[in-house]
Amino acid sequence: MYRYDEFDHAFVAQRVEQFREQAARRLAGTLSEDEFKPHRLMNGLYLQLHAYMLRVAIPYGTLSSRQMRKLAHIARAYDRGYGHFTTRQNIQYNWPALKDVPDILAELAAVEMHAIQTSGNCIRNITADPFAGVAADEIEDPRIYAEIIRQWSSLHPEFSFLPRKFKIAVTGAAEDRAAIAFHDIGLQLVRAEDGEVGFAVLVGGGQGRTPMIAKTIRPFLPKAHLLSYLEAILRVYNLLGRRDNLFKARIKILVHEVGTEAFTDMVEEEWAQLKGGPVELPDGELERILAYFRPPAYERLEAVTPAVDVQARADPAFAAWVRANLVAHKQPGYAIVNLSLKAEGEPPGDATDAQMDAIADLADRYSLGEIRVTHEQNLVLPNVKAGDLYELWQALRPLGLATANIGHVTDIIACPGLDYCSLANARSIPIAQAITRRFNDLARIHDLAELKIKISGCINACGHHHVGHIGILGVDKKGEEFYQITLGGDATRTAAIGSIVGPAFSSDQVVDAVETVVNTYVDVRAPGERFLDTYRRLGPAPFKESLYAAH
Amino acid sequence: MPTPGPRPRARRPFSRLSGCKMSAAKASAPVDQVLTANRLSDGKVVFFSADGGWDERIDRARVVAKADGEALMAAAAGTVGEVVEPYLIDVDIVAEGGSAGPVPRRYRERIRAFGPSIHPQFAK
Ligand code: SF4
Repeated sequence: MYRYDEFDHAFVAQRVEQFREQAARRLAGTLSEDEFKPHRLMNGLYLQLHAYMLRVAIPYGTLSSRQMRKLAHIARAYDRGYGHFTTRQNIQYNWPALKDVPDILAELAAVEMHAIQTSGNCIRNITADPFAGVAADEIEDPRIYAEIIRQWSSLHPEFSFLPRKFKIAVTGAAEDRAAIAFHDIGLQLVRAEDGEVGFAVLVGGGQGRTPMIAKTIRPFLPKAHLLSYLEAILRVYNLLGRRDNLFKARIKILVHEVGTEAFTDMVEEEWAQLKGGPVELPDGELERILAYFRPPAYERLEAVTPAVDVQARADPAFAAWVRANLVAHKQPGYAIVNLSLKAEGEPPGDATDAQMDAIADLADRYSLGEIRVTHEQNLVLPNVKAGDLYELWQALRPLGLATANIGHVTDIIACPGLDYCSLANARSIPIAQAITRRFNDLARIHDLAELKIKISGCINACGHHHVGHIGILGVDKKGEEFYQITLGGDATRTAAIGSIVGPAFSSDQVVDAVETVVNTYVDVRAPGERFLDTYRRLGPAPFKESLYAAH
Repeated sequence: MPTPGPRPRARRPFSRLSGCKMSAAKASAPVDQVLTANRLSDGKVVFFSADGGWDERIDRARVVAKADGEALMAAAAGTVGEVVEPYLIDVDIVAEGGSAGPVPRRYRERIRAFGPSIHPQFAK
């Protein structure tokens, strides 16, 4: 796992002290809000509806048990006993007092964490496949490159004031679990025919007001040139990206307006100047960073553990959990275990301090001390021995962390919405809670196969509604909360943006409407079809019909 | 220094948030206003109160007729250093029951005034 180097230590410590001074001056009244705001945002501190909100980066979604314990401690000592894991692999605290924030930042720095680059028009926290380094379908661990990018982008003088925020995601696997097609830059490790590993480079994806699927501008980039190529993209964007219109400032608009081909040409031209120059990764650097991500000391185990089958046969609830929440590990005899933060009636992505502490303990006992955060707002124990699964499952149940619903109808992404967010039109979390209460029968949940519902409280789309198989967007209709439903979105390799199915529903109607969509799928699906398959085969007509025909 | 934990409070009926629909009839009712902001020190939602300070409870807010909104702003001028970005909101005065007092017209402001709907223990 990556550790701060000395530079990071000195830098973060310095930033904490700077912020301590700035906060003190603000509290004393010698700094105005206008003067203070850029400083607090640079340290991840927002002012939301009810309180300040602190957004802490979890680079590429990897946490040690020690870090998780610190997050629990902060929730308990400085907040209201919980934290919210977000779609960008961050954690947000909803109630910190300004006077406490310097202390919180100092506590985070003690475990090599910070809140830098979680706000502002800079390169934000680099996200990655949550199963990086352990997934069976992986070419290489993408976190090595996410870390290289993190170091390069941290405080890059040229890229601290971009036209708009900039998000980069990296995956090393065949399956896209990092939604790379919906990032400003998406990188996928690929293997060329001659066996060389490099990157497919995607640019110009995003959600928000104008959702776009990223375009592949280079199918293969040798690894050695990663930084020069990224620098070329950023330079073109920095020069040509629109600074006159907030809504048109993202790179997706630039790529769309100039066209993929012309944009690619500009990048390649810029790259020709930079290639092989000082911005490239220095010799030995890749090896140095690689050393941080060396695989942990796995035991040599048999690939199959018959005990799991026996336990599963004896205990159908365990069998259901194994079916839904486990992912294949690259190491024989190990499993990747998803801990669902989507228990019935709970706010998606929230974890209490007690849960976080318990997860840290379980990570030490069963997962070589490691935890991951997914962009779908769940947590992961990435290194569990198959022989320990039953015991782990039994430990997770009383904690409310064993819901067997990963990738299913109740594994909902929801942004904070109007319960917290000052930009919101409508609440997201209560809709998610109501859906999990409506679909609370596990047999039904599993019968519905893979089905992803994603909810945003406004068009900024932090809840990824555009890429929900069923997307729900909160809108304001004459001061009341309404919800627009989109169908057919997909965040994976078969990326698609959902289409609005018809007029919006009131908060009283929207859960019924979702159920109508789901029941329609059940009625018209062919054997073995997932919701998305059925939607792609039949289009929106049967869903429109059942939603609106009676009206 | 840790902040004090949440004070457990009685669960407030959800109707407090949803029970005050903005109907057409309301438009003709006299509009009152209160002054709200977030407190600088902890970001909490506060209201300019009858006794000239900033209070977390909207039912202790100083209520004025809409025409006097600017005067309310002026009255608070000496204390705005304690808060961030004060602004006026429209309220209706509800007479009955547990929600007696000013209730914001806009949904967003009702959530600000009464706390997140999903955490009744943090309701105000
Ligand atoms: S989608 Fe809108 S409401 Fe939801 S968190 Fe983002 S900005 Fe706030």
